[in-house]
Amino acid sequence: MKAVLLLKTLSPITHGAENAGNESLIRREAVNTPVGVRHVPVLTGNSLRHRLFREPIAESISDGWQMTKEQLRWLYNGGALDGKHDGIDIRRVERMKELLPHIEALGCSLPDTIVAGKLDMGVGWLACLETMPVLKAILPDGWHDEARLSPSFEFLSRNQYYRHDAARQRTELVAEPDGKDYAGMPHGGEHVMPGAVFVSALYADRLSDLACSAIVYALEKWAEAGATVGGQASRGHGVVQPMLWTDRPIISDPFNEHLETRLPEIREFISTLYIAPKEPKKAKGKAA
Amino acid sequence: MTERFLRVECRLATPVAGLKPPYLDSLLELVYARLAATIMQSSNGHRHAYEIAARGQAVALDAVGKLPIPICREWIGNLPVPRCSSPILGSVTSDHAAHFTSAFPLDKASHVVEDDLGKVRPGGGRFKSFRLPLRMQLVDRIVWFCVVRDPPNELRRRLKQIRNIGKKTSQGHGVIAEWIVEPCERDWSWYAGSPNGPVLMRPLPADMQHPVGLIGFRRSFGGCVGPYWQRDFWTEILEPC
Repeated sequence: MKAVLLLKTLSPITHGAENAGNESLIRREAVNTPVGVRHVPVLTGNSLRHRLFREPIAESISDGWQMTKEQLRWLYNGGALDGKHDGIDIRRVERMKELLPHIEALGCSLPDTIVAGKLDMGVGWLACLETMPVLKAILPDGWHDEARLSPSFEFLSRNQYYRHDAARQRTELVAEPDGKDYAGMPHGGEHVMPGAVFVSALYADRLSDLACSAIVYALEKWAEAGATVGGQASRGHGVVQPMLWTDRPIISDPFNEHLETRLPEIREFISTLYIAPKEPKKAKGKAA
Repeated sequence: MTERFLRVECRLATPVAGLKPPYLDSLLELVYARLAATIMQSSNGHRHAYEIAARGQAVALDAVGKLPIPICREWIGNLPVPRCSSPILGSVTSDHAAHFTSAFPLDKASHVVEDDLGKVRPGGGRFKSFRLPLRMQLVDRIVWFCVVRDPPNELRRRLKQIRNIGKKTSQGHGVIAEWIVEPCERDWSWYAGSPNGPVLMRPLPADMQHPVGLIGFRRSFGGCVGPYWQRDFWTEILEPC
């Protein structure tokens, strides 16, 4: 499966890398340009895989259902190896791929083995002057337009918010004033402006039809839930308008039907993960 | 059988993750492993030939060198050493660390059963969060010199199936823009000539016969045949430096 995901930003995008004081810096990646190395804003493939694919499907499965902490981490984060094990339970791997076809694309870690995923999620590259050679390499033939794009700095801006402290604002509610000055705190940082476009190319070799359907299903669920990427979605940041191109028609119906019919089995399977087998009780009484 | 000397170049579109770029013979072995006989047919119709084998599992001694990659191999003792140089990087214009993270999904804690509610320690233990560094190298090209048996068409066809190299390709790193395969005048797969003497081009067993006056190497203990992480095949080697 080949696919291209275009994310047109509808609100400021704040996919952060680190902080400098009380300012957040957005995530950048180095690219070679004719005039040297430039660092351009990106959406990391790791975050896109989680936000766009793994989390929406996990939400559908866990809706109105409860599990253990290890199982929750497996469902939402892919899990981790757990303790000692004497061999790999291949039957369980097969059962998992049958019930949860999206794992075939995204991979996971079962308690006894790591299961590789087949999906190569592309970095979300900002469509700009500096990334034109990258876009030319990752986009399908015929997509690339030689028209000059704007440089990345034209898509960047800054924001600042102010966190007020109620101890200063509503002094009448403080029972015993301690005389301290509870000042507020300005905080802010960089963001990518609305109107910019991020481009991510997806590729998966020999992905089953049901797994492809799961990918599209996840994207639809993510779009229904507001289609946000990066941080500060609570402030209205990160809203994007997604557009997906695939090299063949893929619809979400098969996976939707799969979930509806096999959800009890899926939950039963997940509820068996990370449960330590009970050790046989020692017989009471005197030894023979 | 005619031996052909080739120069294989990989033009990169995005930075490569990881400490070492891969050997060309390793990349081709992966491609051919995917074509090898399937070990089982799964119940939902897709095939998997290699992903069940966890990293670190033993590889049978007689399996080494069996994958029919187009690159020639030469037996040195009991090791079929590929006639292919180590990867040679173009100018590394940026060498930096990226990070990838994971944390327990605390915002989904309402899905945890009552009996299992309790403290999660993100600083340690089984639910430890991580923010791990990943070395990223921005390089325009990687070159290998190799010797192949047949016309390079087969090699070109298989190389097209390799779309990313390095670590964390699932996150979009190491995207390949173009493969270029062209003839080369001399065999520079193991040694290359220089005014100061022959230069070592790939890890080779230390106890084999090397050219007199060899330069550009150091002694080490490691792999000289794929899979390079498999310690069963590690031996005293000379490696380029």
